[in-house]
Amino acid sequence: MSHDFLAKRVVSDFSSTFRKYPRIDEFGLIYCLEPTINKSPVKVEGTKLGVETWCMKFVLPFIHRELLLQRRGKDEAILQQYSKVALLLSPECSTFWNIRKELLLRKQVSVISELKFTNIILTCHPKSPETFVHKRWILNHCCVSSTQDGCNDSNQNRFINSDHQLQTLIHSEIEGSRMAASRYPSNYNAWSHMIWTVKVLAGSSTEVLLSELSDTRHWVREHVSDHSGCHYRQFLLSQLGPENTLTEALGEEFRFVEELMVSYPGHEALWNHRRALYHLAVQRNKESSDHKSRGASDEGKPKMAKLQDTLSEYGGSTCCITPGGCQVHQQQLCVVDGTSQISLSALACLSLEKQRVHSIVRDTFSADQKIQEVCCKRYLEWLERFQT
Amino acid sequence: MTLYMTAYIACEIYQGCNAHKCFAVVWVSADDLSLINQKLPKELILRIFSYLDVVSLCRCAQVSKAWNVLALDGSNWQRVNLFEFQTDIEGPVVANISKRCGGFLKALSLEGCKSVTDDALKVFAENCRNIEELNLDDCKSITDHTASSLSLYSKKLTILDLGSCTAISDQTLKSLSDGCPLLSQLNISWCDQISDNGIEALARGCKELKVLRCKGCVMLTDESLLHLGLHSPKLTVLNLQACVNISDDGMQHLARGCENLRLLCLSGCANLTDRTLISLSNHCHKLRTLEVSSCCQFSDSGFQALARTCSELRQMDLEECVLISDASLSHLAIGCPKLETLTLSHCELITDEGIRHIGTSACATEVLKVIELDNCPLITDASLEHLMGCHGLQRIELYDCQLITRAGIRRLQSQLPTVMVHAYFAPPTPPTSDGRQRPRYCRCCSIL
Repeated sequence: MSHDFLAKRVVSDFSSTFRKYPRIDEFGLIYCLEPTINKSPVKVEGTKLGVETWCMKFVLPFIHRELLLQRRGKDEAILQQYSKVALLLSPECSTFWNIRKELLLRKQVSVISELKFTNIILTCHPKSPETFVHKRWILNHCCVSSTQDGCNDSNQNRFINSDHQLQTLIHSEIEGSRMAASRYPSNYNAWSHMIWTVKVLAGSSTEVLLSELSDTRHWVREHVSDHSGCHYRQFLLSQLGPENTLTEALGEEFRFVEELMVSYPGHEALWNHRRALYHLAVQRNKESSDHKSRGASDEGKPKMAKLQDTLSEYGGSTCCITPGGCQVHQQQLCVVDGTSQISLSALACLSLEKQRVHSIVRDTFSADQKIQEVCCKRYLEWLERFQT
Repeated sequence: MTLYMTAYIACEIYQGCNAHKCFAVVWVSADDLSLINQKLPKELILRIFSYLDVVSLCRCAQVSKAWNVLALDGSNWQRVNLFEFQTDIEGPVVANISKRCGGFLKALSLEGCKSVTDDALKVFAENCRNIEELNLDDCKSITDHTASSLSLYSKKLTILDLGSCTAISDQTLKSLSDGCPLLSQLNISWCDQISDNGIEALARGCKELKVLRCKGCVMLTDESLLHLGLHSPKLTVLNLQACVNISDDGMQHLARGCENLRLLCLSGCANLTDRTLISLSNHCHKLRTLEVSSCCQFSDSGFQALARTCSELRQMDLEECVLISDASLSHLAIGCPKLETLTLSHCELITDEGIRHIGTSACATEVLKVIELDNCPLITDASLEHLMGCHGLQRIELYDCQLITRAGIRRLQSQLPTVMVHAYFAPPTPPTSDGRQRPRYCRCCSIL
């Protein structure tokens, strides 16, 4: 009983802290078994929120009990506060997320603030699948209803009104997921949420794909043995539409991965990434040489319409390849800014690829040659198998 | 479940309209053989039913035709509270209830029924002319029309709650002042369209007004207080929380006119200064509860004046009156011997010396029940020592008093075992696990 007062106080501390510091962007646990001083366990340092763990054993059972009791109650402010604290401390309880969903539907919580809140949770629990599910639910909810123009727009939670808003939303989503990805190795949930965002929200638009390619470069350089980042880049490349952009990006990616392989020898993730790149090059080369054109370019369409298209076709995703005029590019080796641009056929050529791989091994620092050779041998074996 | 119950009530009441017509028929066929109906006269069953709540009554109405008639008799429906079903109550339900209950209905609560409209309440006012208590708190859909229907028909209305009905304006208060002369309790909190004109009309029309709650009516100014002071001498409870535009002049008029004030809440009225407290001390000697949290201009001299004359004070909320110091506490300790609850949260100048005054005052030993000292950074364990003589103490709040130690709290608890100490130190789970057993003999014996 008497613990309940303490728990209640801590919850109200949380609420007042959120009210006082609206710019909080990170949450963390401060490990300590017993309080040493009569001071609130909720701490703020700049924009970072922390809670001392000693209070968890009182707060969690209390909130859990109260939320289940009051779930059908009328006091939405209480539900709002309690569910927020409950989710910060343990984000894997779907019941609490459902309470948040109900509050959102009753417009007690705004979409933007809720997305911001999920990002704060991800700073402490970067792998939490339920959080990502909730994010997608919100985005599906507000985007689907706001892109269905014409029909019952008065009722729906119309929320995205301009392209600009959509852009900021995409940006914040990707930023949040990338932060989560760097806080937990091989964070499948975060990366697949990024993929989902690019595919569904951004409709795989070329600008977003290219900016993402350049933005994740740094991340991959910092996490050379984490394949999930490489996989994300493979996805981005596979979504790139116009052939010359793809060729350029792919060539750059080959060079990038070569550089990384030389600097960080023996990392399997990089070699696997190369396999995927080569596979993509071969596949695209075949497609373009087949000269099959399908449909018109998506370029002219506004982003909103594109998003809608993607939403409707999401599930059986297709990607449009635009040939036309690329034959010329394939033949000549044009020089841009001093770096030679490689053609798609050159990238897909088996003997050239073998040469390139051997040069990687040659360039490696001699002490690491042995391990690099092992990887190289495996790669060459794979190349042979792939060709047949 | 709620939906079902509401639908059921609505349905029952709907059917109820026909019940009068087929009354005779039902009565003849109601010769059922169950013992209770034979043994008990209908008047007694009716009497028993009168103690039941809405849900139980509706259940009884399902038992038999005879019971249906008795349970749905208007005399059982003198007090109806639909708070439990609020989200599902629509206009027709209110209309049907009013038809069913007619003149019997004296108290109705529609708290939180957001979809109840003016039309439904018009039908209600026409049917239930004896209504005395009406709670429309948070019925967001109602407008000034409701008040005009009430003023036409509800002459006996004494208690009305219109809290958070944000659509109403001064016109509502004018209608009430015209038609409801017996009105004694009114809540118009958070109705932010209400202005001085409305309050003036109310004060002139409703001479019986005793309780007025207008939290967050930000348009009210000193003029409202002037008229309340002139025309409402019976006012005992006044809540002006967050009426940010009132000032000392208005409070002076109010205090002069309303000498019967028992409860006054001025929390969040940051314009007020010590002059307000002096006016109160000059006129309102019957004040029992004073809430002045966040009135940050109040200082020691104001409380000195207040403590000199307002000796009836029982509850004081001085949260975030940041200027007050130990001097205020010493005045209160001397002047207010009946003080039960004292809130000093965020009064950052308070030290152990001030608490010593409280602990040794006349109110301390028996009367003082609750003392809140959270976020008073200068308080130390010595304060707890000073409070050890307060045998009536039930609760003490010490959150965020960083100089308080666990040992200090433990000493207080050993002295006053019943007191609830609220601090960030988790309370000890079993009180006897100390290992130290209490002496079997009492202290006086040990001296012998």
